[in-house]
Amino acid sequence: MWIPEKGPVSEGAGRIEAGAAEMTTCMDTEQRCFVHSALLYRSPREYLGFVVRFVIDGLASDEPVMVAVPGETLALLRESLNEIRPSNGTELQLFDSSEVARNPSRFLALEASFAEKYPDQRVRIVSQLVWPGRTVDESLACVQHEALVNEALEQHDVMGLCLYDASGLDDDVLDAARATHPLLWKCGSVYRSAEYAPDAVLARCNQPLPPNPRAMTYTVMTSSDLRPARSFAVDYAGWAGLSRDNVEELQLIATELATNSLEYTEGACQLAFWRHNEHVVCEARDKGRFDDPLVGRRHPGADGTASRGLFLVNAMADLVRTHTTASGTTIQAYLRMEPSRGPSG
Amino acid sequence: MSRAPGRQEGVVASASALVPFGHVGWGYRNRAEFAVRAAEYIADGLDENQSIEYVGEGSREALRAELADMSGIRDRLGVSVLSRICVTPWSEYYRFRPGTDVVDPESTVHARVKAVESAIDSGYTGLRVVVDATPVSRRREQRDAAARFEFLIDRQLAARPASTLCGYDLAELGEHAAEFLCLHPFVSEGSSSFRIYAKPEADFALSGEIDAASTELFATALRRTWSPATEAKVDDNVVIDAQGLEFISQRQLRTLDQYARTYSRDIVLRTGQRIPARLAGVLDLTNVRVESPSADGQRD
Repeated sequence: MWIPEKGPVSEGAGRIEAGAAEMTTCMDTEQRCFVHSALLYRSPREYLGFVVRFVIDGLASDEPVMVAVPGETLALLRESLNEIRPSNGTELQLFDSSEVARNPSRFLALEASFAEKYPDQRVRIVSQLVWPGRTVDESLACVQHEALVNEALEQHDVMGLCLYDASGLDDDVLDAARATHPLLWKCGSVYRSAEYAPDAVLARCNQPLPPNPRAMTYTVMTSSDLRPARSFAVDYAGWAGLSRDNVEELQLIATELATNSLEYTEGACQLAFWRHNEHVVCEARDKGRFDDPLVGRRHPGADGTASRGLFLVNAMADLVRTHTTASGTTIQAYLRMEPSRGPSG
Repeated sequence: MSRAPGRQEGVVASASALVPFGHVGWGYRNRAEFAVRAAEYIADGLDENQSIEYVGEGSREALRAELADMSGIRDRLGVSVLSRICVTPWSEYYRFRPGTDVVDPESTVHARVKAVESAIDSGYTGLRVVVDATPVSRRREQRDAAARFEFLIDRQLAARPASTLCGYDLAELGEHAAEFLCLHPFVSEGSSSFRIYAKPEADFALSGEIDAASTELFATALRRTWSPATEAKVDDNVVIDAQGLEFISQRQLRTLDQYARTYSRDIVLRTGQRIPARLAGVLDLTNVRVESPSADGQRD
């Protein structure tokens, strides 16, 4: 992908025009590429105008579009799009990102599956994973996702637009947006990001996760310990007042994390459970190391060899944090506590 | 112990109180333990006016001597009841493939059904058998047939006034004992984390917990029970009553899906658990459909 060192790559107030050098490379040839761009918008008007234009241009070009933005803006967007969307039958999928990307680590699979649904077509994906009110840990997971997606979707024909509320988000989140997106929109033109450095961002995201001294712990040495480990999790869940659904989710998460440790490392797995604000945390600590930062984020497929265990943990949990070094890996799965509707366990 | 509708199942600490009927697999560590459980099971059957049969290795005299040593019967009901118990050497209890000691499952089931009918004709309320199944489970070439018999006889026991305590010598069979124990609705503690057994309105029932510790055991049990569970079916749906299922990992759900795909079937897994349905969706399982049990099928 050729990108000019200086000056705009493309202009057009949201329209991605053929003729702009970088975009031309992707759009006018058979080459598949992932265009990963970010808009740091300053007003709802700018946001709505830009996104509607981006979506409508895609649909008009027969490019299926997926949109995942938080619920309140999704409603506004849906209303605007319904008024002017072309009726050519091109698919438009709308998601509430506070649901589908509540755990940012599971959003990649959704993006990839949408792109793979149209193997011979370019698709557009609009997403807003960070919004004011996201916790620091959640925002960090979003940053990690945005850094990883550059490589993960490299072979997919995707025009990606990621949205950031420049007036409501902290400077470090906006800095991270510039560092994880090779292209930035400004005043209707797209520029190469001078701060683009996804590997450095990934290294910063790999933050140590120290043990919680107040956690309840259970060590899984062999697969025969999985069952008592689940009993331990159920006991903890009962003490913490988890709902029946939460109890089932916690059992699955604990089992899959420990099973993954037993399968891929030679030592034991120490499980730990504690409450953190409105979440219960299940942590797995072992002596293994992650070689593939995308493990658990890609859909394993029906007969694929990718890890299904960690993929399921990402599917069940509301946030997953990972720290890996040469001497060990720690994974923390956060489960949002739902009101208990009946006896647990 | 689960009291799911239709048939009870569970992990039990003793063989008593499984009345009027209850098919139980007991893994015993020594003969003394087996004798205690046999006595509990037999004494309950005598109380229920059931016809009792005691099956094991050795001659009739040796089996009678074993019964006479069971204080659990003698102390509870007196010595005189011992004469009401029929003893049968294992080689007469089972039917075998010609020239082998490999059980002929269908012939043995046929003979056992006749025995139940005979007991009823004789005025008993049912037939209760204690059998040490170790002799037909020892060798690799015996096991597939013995497991098929266990599954087929359980179907009969689910529908007739009959029950059996099947003993398996843990010291002799080692890890293979679980391959048979898991085919009983009731099992002794530590026998098997899951159970496959017969249940009305389903092709089989699945209960307990299945995870990475039981991956091979589950695959073996499914391989052995799939054929007898499905071979007579006229439709494509294989219904598994999983109301007693407490946990199943994604690996075993995928195993079920692969079986169904291989044999061009669709599995309907009926469970009150919510996670299996979510797993089936997340993993894009094609041939496993998870359904909630009907309202009258909920566990009480």
